[in-house]
Amino acid sequence: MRVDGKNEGPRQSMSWLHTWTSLLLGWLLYAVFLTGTLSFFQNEITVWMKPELHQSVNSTSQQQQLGYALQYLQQNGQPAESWNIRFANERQPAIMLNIRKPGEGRRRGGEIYLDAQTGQEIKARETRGGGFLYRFHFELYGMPRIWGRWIVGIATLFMFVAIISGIITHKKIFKDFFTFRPAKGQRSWLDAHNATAVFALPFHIMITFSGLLLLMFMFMPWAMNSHYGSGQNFYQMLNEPVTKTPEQARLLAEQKQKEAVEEGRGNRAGGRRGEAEQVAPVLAAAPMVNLVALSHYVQQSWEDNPIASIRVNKPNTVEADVQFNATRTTTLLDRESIPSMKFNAVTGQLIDEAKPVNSTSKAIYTLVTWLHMAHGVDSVLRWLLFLSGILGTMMVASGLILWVVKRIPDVQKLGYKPFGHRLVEVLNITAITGLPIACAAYFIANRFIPAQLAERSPLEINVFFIAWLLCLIHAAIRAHRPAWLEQLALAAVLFLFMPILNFLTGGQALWMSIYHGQWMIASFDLVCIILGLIFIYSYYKLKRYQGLAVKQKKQPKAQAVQEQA
Amino acid sequence: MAALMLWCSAVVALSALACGMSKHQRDIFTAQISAQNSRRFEIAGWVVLLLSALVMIYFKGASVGLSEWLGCITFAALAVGLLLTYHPKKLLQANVIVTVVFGLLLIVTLI
Repeated sequence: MRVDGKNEGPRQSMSWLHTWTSLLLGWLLYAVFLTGTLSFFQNEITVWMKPELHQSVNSTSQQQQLGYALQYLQQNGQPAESWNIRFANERQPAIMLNIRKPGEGRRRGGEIYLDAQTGQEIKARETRGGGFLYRFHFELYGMPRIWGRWIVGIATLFMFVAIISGIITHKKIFKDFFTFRPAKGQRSWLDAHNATAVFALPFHIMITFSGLLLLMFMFMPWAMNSHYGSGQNFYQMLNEPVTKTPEQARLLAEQKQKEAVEEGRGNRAGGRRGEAEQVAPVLAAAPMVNLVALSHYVQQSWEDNPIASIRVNKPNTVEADVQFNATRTTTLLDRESIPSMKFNAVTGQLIDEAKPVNSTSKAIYTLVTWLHMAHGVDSVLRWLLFLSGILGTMMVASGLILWVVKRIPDVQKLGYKPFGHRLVEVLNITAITGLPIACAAYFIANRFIPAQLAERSPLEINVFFIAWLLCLIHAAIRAHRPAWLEQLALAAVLFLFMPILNFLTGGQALWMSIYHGQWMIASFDLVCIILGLIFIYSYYKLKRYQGLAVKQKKQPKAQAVQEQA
Repeated sequence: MAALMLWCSAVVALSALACGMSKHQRDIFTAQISAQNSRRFEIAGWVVLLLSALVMIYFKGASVGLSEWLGCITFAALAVGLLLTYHPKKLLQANVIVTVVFGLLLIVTLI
């Protein structure tokens, strides 16, 4: 890989690979890591961005909440294909309802919020909330979804390469496990890069590998396509229920027959679903059993694992059924491990449905992808994943800075800054401090754009990108050091301002949210304060930093470092 | 609570491992540490780590338990690393505090 054709060992070639692939994709990976880490708490971000919901204090029992929900749904939710009820919980202060009207396919949005205390409907502002950051972290924005996925997917692939080549390159990481040598310029950045990488190494491997698995139907569709027709068919086959009892077999056959009939109807109508549904016979009405009592029974059998959601299919008809889903899983190795129970909603009888069987490969897939998405995990593991994500973000950032710091002696020898070096400096600032500023701008825009405005969520997203662009322009026109200082200061001010903004613009003030135990709101404000303090600390650290004094003495040492690295 | 206890035991275990590494012994101790004692530190560290892993598997299952275990070790290592960087001499004191916290939490949990 060397232009001068000299021999090099495997470690040096890995070093080359590690440096340049990482630099090429570092900024993108930083953005993916940062927005992805925030996505562990996308519910909480969305709640913060809908301050109307903050008035709902979750102090009522689930039975009470279910009563409110059913009251609302019986009045306003008929006729319906299905109802979905999500209770207020530790991540959401209000009750959330979804109504699927007959003839509607699956869709996002259309949530109805009820105050958990009074059962009154709350009209929340229209925003993408944390969902925007979540989508951005694997689809980017402003381009066809599939392109974004390809770009992020390729970056993930290189991240995986960077991790493996990084372990080989920095051979001393395990020997230097606890070693951090502060205030030594390049050495310290390398130590920081190593420490954040090694301490959270299992997390990094998990998150990158599962990121690839989540996109595998796109990267490697050939086996699925040739054996199963399409990726969708493959997943369907994989999760085909397997019957264990004659009763389950009977139910499954019944269901398949029903599906076939519906499909046949859809085909006759020439694929026009609206017409197809009109042909569908109206099911006879039938009163449902007392769902509140049923939920009480379910909760007792699940003990301390609260019911997360209830889904009622074809409510108030002879075919009505109701499914209860629990919050947490006991194992991450089985896709069917989050407890759920299904009942006939007219007779109240338990429906014993056939479930897909598990296999080793499915277990591995479930383990890493559920950890990636923090699916079914409790708050402790969610916080650990979030904090590990922050370490990952810091790892990428320190690597990017290391690239610049390492080349400072060369640039000084040269006497002027080559364009490439300057470009990396500018993009580093734009990514590392610019993106948090853009996120803060997004949150602020959420509170300043009038809540009643139609189509307001695209405006919020525009503010996000405009703020980011301004950071790029600022970094390009200002000198290196002042650009860092000014953006760090701005980020600190914006994040420290967030809790104040929250209570000035209709949100629950920090002391009140703590008083009411609404940690989903309080933690957002608290994390903003902590981030603000970190930015202040970095600002003063950089402000006091005067550069490395003794250049001559440093030279041989720096070379030694380069050989090691 | 359980996570905090796990973090405490991981800090003790990783501190012991650091005590067993010759490059840190100079910073931590005033006296010379014999090779035999280094070995003992190392064994103690691994035993505590292993035990905490087994306890987690017992209470939370292999997948959830080990995920939490790895997560807690990450931040215990971070704490020990920072301590060794800035206050290596206070490592033993810190371990005493962590052990007391662990004991208190254990008592609270058992009651």
